Amino acid sequence: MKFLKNITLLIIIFYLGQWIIAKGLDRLITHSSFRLSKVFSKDNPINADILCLGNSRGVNSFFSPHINNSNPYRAYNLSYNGMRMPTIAIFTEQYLKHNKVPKTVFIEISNIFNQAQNIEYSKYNLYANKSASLNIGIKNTDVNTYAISAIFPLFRFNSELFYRSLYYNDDDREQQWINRYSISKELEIEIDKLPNENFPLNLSDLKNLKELQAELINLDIQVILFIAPIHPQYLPKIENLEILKSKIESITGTKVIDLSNLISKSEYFADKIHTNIKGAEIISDTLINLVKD
Amino acid sequence: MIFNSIPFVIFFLVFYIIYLLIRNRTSKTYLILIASYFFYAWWDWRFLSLIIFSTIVDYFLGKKIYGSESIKEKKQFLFLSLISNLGLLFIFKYFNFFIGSFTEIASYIGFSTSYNTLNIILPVGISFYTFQTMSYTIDIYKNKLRPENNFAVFASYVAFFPQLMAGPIVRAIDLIPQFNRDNKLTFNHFKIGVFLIVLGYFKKLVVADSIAPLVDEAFANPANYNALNLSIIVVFYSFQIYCDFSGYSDIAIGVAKLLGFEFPKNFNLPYFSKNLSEFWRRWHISLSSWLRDYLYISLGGNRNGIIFTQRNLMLTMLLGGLWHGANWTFVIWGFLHGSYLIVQRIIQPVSRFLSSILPKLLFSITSIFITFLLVNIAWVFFRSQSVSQALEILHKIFSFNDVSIAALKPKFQILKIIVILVILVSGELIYYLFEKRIKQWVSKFQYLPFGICIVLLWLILFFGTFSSNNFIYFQF
Repeated sequence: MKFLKNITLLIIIFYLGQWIIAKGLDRLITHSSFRLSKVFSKDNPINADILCLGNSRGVNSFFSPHINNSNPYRAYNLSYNGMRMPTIAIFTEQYLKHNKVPKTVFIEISNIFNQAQNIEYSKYNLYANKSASLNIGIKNTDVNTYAISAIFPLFRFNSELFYRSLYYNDDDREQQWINRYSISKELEIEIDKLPNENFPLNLSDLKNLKELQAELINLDIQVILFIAPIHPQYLPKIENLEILKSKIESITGTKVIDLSNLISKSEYFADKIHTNIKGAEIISDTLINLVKD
Repeated sequence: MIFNSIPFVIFFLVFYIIYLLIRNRTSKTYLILIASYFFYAWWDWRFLSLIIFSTIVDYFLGKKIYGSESIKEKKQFLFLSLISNLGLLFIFKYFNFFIGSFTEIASYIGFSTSYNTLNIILPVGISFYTFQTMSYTIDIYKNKLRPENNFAVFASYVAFFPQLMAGPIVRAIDLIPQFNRDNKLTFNHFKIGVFLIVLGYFKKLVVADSIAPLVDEAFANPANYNALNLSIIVVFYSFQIYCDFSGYSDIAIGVAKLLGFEFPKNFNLPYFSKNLSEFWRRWHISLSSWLRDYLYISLGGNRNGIIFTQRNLMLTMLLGGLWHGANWTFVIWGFLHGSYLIVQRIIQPVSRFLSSILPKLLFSITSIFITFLLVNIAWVFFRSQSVSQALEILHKIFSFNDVSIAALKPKFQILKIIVILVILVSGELIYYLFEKRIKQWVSKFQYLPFGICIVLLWLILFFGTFSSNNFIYFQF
């Protein structure tokens, strides 16, 4: 009997303990300067004039500290690795809820060149308790993650986003996050060996892009769609980029700013599809000229 | 069925409730046998026939060996047992490798050959249960063991589910008597059993499975990584394989404890070894002691002078390498370890001299570091798909061409794993330094292991990777 009582007590300690730890960690993220965590911050809003959305190509092509140093605007990069349109829409919705409406939004659209069927809502499980639409997305796509997180809140913090939230505690450092190295010679040789290819187009993501664009325009925001530069050795191997661009332009009714061939020097790239800080400064200067006064 | 899967959890809960309700020893044995066959058949029922074949053959040959009047007759029956066990291993594990290697060598020297390979998959656990059954007949031959009369007991020994897929290799002399006694489950069994199971899951889900994607990606595309990155990945792999395998062993030993059985320790803080022979006394202990007792000593051990001792060491390590898999990478891994052991014996006077002049702590730390480094170099061959890939990785690491921290990838995953490894190594270091005191505390504070379990479970929730990855040693 004593044994059962003690075991029950231990189970209660385990359960309550993880619940208390989760509460404590939740407070840590609300004070973090990590871009996705900061979106939810009520005390310390971002309030940017210019916002950039996208995936890792967005992360490494729009260098907000460079823009902030040379322009009167406050720019902020909200792009995140592997982010797709449906999740971009969720974080933009939260951004608009807690921050002033930006003047211009840049969207790096390479994230719609994919064939993936499922959207990785559960990747953003850390914020599931802060966004109803994100929580519904997780419930519909990854019921295990949804159920485990509901029973054990500590599980939500089992995420790279949490480590990033802990790591970035000040604004300046967070927005400095960008590739700072140049592509290696070996990788350049690998690119040469690659065959020609056709990028896929995710029509569902394109539909999401169109909806997001309409919502932003309704708020009187200037929306600029762009394609970030591609490594000069890799670009000629993509056979259908022009066709895709025309299709996106016809569906969204907006001209796509094609910067895919903006940079011809290899040293401005970190790999075949990502620029580094030097490349990002050139792209940022080009993009900022498109902002309406 | 794998330990880190929902079907196993359900299977074990149902099995365990029935097991606890049954009082009769014979019924318990039958329950274990049925459950073990079900456990194995969940993976592929067709290969159950191999286990049953091995069981029947060795059950009867064991009796024949024991009942034979002459040594010659005993030898013949032992030979039959070894042929049938090694024959199974050869067909299912090594046939394609030898045919492939033969064809390659023949074409290299100018002969054109075309032999067909077999289109078969490797039955999980075959290397483990064949070694178990071989130890049974060899021990009977050596008059160390009497044959088991109860077929169900012997069949349960061969197929006992906690260690069927990936060991530890438990010898008949240690395990069969446990089936023939009343295994009462004590609080101590329960306490240690639960602790080992949780520790095993921590090692597997938190350490091994978190490292796995990084290692897989880096070994698939080494060209994308710089020297520093690859060095980190190799060190990570050494912890991945350790935690994957010792995690499995911990769960197996823990599950057996919950059933009232005792398995021998299979790992004993191997990366704290000060030399290679100590490493082999701490790593995969059940295999290394098996190879020592049934192969190294049978070859003559260290009884016939230096040259023969070194030959025996090398042969044992080469065959130990080949046991892990039919690939030249494993042979080279065994060769490296054989060479390490030989060199260690040769330079023994030098290391003795150094240990006498250097401060003890400095000597110990340096020895541990060098041993770890040598083990890591060998792991590169163990993990690589081919010898050329292993050489490419080692060449890149030792060329030190690019050690830029900025180019490390994926940074946050690396950071996460470093935090995990700090937790793991700190825990092991505390145990290494204060083992005696910890054991005293555990017997004094009955619920201390459960307290540690709670912390480990929090860490599993916080850091765990829940991808149902197979255990690495299943492929061996």
